[in-house]
Amino acid sequence: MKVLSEVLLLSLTLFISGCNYSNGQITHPQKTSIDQPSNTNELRSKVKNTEVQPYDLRNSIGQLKTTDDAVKAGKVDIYQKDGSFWYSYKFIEDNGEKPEKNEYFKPFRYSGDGYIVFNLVGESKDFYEVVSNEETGDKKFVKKNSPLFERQKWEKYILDCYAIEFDSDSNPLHSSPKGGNVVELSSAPTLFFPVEISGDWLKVKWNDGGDKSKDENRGWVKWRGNGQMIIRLFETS
Amino acid sequence: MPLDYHINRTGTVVPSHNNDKVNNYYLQNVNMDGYFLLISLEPNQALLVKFPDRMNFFDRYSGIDTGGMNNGVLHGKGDHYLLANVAAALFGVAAVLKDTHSIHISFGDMSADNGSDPWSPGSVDHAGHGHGSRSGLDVDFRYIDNGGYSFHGKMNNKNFSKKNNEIVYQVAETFGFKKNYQGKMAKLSGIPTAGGHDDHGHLGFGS
Repeated sequence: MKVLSEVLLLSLTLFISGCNYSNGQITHPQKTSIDQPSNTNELRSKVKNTEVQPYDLRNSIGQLKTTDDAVKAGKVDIYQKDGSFWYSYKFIEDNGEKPEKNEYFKPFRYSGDGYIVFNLVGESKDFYEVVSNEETGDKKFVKKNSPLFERQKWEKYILDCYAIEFDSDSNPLHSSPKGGNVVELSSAPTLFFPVEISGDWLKVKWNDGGDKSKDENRGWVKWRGNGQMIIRLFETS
Repeated sequence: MPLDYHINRTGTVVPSHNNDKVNNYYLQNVNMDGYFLLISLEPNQALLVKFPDRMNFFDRYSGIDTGGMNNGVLHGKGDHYLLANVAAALFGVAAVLKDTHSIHISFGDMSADNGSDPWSPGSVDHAGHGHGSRSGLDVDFRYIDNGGYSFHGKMNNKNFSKKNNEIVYQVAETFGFKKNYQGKMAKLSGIPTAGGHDDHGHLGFGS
């Protein structure tokens, strides 16, 4: 769109300043300034300090996620330990009708739009055991022969994400998955994009200052430490 | 200060002052020889307007996000809020898609009412849409099928239309959406790929 009026430019300028100082309703995190390195051989990264809530993976053996067929089916069934039926999670109809609420059903990710992602914590001959309520830790069961679910690794889920963030103070960026130098950032990038995983380390790429015209940088950050996921996931842009 | 927006089907939007409390959106008619008042939208305290859920040339998908606290961020209510000028551009996109290309598009997440990215308990996190510096600028849409309608599915679905989806990105770019993504399945030519977009496209206003 071509901006054809100074009025619009003024309006946009006012909005941008409003983002920072207006009535406290906008919640953009503020970027922190970046320290200049005192020694180029021992560089210190300073990314904006993101609030990362560690996620416990100590008992996890992967994920269980819905397949594309689940959307067509319209619902998925969840069972109790004795194999009896517990709950059907229904996806949103095209008419916008919301699924029946169940305050005890709070898996890792879920949306009436057509997906559920469980933390998979066990399996028997016929059932997968999943965390059905992330707040309480309650567990329920999904039939192994259901075509509406598939098992996948956390690594795959992370690499399918659009971007990640991390706390650079407790989890700095390094030049290699074996540690190596801490990588300095010449300016605060806006986003880090996942590239590959080696053990507990995640390779990420970014552009300085978020400017895609600048050279792409790469480094390694820990995605898992002490049995916990210590990065924040942004599944989509 | 509220503005009148005259939306041309060629991709330009002309703003001008008005004396109302609302932004008035005038869409050029199909014959491109005049304008009609499409809708009036009042800016909220975050200086965003609520993009309508549906009109006869577009609609929305998914439930409406409730908001709440997540990772230290207060997510506002709703998921269909845009900057006033971005809303004008999006009206233009949807109108050209419908009237010129017979494509009926369904929009998803934009921003929440306070300018944050939209969120509900259990939902995935956005890196844009209000997270970071991009507030009121980003729009998701469901991919278009061979019949010209948005559908609930991924890029590898047999109903996915390469032609129709490329038209969406082309028309959107004409109206100023130039920070766009398709999924990593990369079925479309010339559109940057990004994770998390196999089941929906992303239109980002600005360059």
